[in-house]
Parts: sequence; structure tokens; C-alpha cells
Amino acid sequence: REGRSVARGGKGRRQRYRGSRELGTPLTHPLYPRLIPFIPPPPIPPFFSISLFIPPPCISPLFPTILPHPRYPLHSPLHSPVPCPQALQSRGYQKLVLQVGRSSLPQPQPQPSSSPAVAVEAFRFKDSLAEDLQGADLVISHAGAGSCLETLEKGKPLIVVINDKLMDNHQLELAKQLHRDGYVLYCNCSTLVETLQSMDLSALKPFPPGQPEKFASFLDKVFGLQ
Amino acid sequence: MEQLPVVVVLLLLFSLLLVPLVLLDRRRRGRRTPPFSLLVVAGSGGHTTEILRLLSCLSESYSPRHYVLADSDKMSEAKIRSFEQKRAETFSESQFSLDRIPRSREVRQSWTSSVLTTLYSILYSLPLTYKRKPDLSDLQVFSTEEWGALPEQRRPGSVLQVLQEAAPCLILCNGPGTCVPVCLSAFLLGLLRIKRTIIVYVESICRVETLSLSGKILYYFSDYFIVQWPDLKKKYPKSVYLGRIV
Repeated sequence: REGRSVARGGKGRRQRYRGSRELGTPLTHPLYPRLIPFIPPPPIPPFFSISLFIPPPCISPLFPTILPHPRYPLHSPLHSPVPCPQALQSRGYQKLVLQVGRSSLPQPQPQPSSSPAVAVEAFRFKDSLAEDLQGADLVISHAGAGSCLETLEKGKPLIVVINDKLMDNHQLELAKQLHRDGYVLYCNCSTLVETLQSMDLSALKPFPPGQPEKFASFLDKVFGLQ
Repeated sequence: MEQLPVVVVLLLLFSLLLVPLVLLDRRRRGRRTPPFSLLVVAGSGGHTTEILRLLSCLSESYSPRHYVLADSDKMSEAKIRSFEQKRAETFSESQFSLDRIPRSREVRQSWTSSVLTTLYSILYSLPLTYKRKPDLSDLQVFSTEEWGALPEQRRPGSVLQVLQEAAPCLILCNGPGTCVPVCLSAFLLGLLRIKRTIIVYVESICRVETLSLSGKILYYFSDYFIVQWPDLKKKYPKSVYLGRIV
């Protein structure tokens, strides 16, 4: 009997009641390796989750660097072009540093000879992006709390790109609130180009840092230490 | 697993017996003397960063600090150790310890099985999974230098064991799933008058308009529920709003 159910492609009787803990994550699920060739990657726009550090050309002599956001898994089609190069060039940006994560690296594109090309540097992961953040003039990032706060604390202008398809609820809330308060610019994957062309970075307010001292004094009051 | 329904029924009956204790519970905020031991529940990634920022301004009286991590969380451990090393430079008597408990909920696990796995992580030890060093019978609090020299990290099996051995005055959590069994066990111990612990829950800064699932559960069990945006304060009046503290 058991042989019959297994031969039909079903699980045997013992296997049917495996709890989710035994199955593990999707990558260790017994079926996943068999299904990989048949699952196409989801069609997410390639220029999601790019951080561009771009200075206005008159202010900084350094090349603008783009800082892609860390720890963000991004699936993209096999040939992902460099995102929105014309918009970058029109605003005076000269270099793009991309953190690509697990998606495919950007392919070199043929540039028209008249306009200067945007230099692109890409890497997959880094332990700490602090030095890249320091050298950047504009950051384009996804809406993770850690990334937003880290960038805003360094005082860099930030454009937050929301991925509609992923719909990560708490990221969306934070991004909207920061936009309402005037600290970041906010757009979709599809509206990124217009945002880059029409952005006014001077309208962004400086971000006041959080105050953990208030928490410490609250705890002191609770325990009667004050 | 065949005894599981019997266990669930027994647990439900047990929780019915706790109802009169809940009704008669008067929270005595007695005077305690420093130093206050602190249990910090560190979840994955961003949660650990936030909670370490909260701890950065605490005074010397909050020591020893016991960190509770889910098993297989390496990055949080690295962050905690570097934080404690920096702290040991300023405060000489700084002490901390690290414990691990089984994960109470995998990401996107269904609700019904989450309840069962949470109960499991509260009550049962896992003698096969966790190794114990034979000479470390009690929880020892190590200074930062000694911690680096230990060959193997001691791992208690269950949340109740961690609470019993650490016996903290204060539990601090930030919102990961790991904090629900810890806080519920501490609440249980407080109801049974074994050990009264103050539970402080700080909602993450990402939560502007809605609470996380752990927040919705622990809103009713925590002593102080801190939110970081005023919209949440309006929706949950029992919470404390201190502004943005991360």
C-alpha cells in the first residue's frame, strides 16, 4: 500500500504528517531542488533597491558613488541594464555604486559617444556600508528601517523605493511617515526616473537623531533611581 | 507527538486555574535595590541593533545583562559581543551572559502551529539538541574577558530554565517572536508568585500605525509598553510614548 502511494508521486503515510519545523526553510524543503528549473524568477524591475550617491557636480570633486542597499534579496531578469543612466547624467551624477545582493550583476551598456558615461561599480555584499555611505551624495534604497535610519543619521539625502509587489507592510509605514515629515523622498519602481529628474534635495529636512537617554531616564524612574 | 492533545487539554485546564490569580493580581511595585539584573531578548538583525541602541545609555546599575537569542543566530551574537566589549571599556564591573532558546516561530509559520511551537519552547527542554558542560551546573556570570576564553557556550534547554537561573528584575524586548515565550513565562511566574519581574516592551520604530503580532499579544501582559510614534499612543492608550528613542 505504501509503495503504491509513493509510486503515484504522493507522500507515504509516515511522511504526510511532518510538521513545518522538519521541513525547514524553502531552500531545504525536499521538493525545492526539483522545482527550481521550472520556476522562472519573478519579474521585478532591475533597478529596485539601488542607492545612488550622487553629488551635484559643483559641490564635490569626488565621484558620486551609489550605495546599493544591503541584505535585500533582489531577483532580476538575466540581462539587467544599468538603471536610468540618462536621469543620472542629467542631474550631474558621474558614478554609480551598486550593491546587487543575490541578483545578477548589471551588464555593460553601449553608451552614446556624445554624453559622458556614468561609471558603474557593483558588488554583492559588504559587512559594513558605513564608508560607502560616508562618501556618497545621494542614496537610493529600499524601505528597511535600518537602512533608512543609518542613511538619515549620516545626513545623506535619501530616496526610498517601495516595491509594490512585495508589500512589506511595516517598511511601507515607516517610509510613508518619514516622507510625510519631509525627511526622505518616496517613489515606486516605475516612478523612480521622474523622481530623479524632478527631485529637490534642498527641500529635505535634517533628521533629528533618536534619544535613548529618555528611555534610560524612564527606566530609572521605574526603579526609583532618580 | 501522540500525547499532544492530552498535553494541550491539560494546559488549557491549567490556564483556567490561573484566572482567579489574574483577577486578584495586585502589582506591587516594591522598592528594589541596585544592581538590577536585566534580561534582554535579542531577535534577528534589525531588532538587535535597535535594542543595543536602547541599552547604550543605561547606567551602571543595570548589570548583569542576560541576552537571550534564538538558536542559529550568529550575527546578533557578534553584535552583542562587540557592544559589551565597548561597554567594558567605560564600566569596569560590566557583566553579561548569552543564552539560547529554541525558535518559537519560523517566518510565516501558520498561526495554529505557532501556538504549539511557542508552548513547546516555553516548557520543554531539548536534552538531545543542547549540550551541557558537566562542570557548569549553575548559571555563572562571566566578565567580558572570561567569555572570550570559554571553549563552549552553555545552553540551557528551555525558557523557564533561563528565567529561573537568571532571575532578572527586568525583561526588555523589542518585538521579535522569540520574546513572546520569554515574556509569557515571566508573566506566569509572576502570577504564581515565584518571581516578580517587570516586563518592558519597546515597539520597534518601524511600527507607525499598527502593532506587530508580538506587540498585540504582549500589550496585555507587559508592565510598560513603549511606543515610538504618537498614532500608536492614540490607538493603544495604555502605552507610554516617549518620542523616538532609537
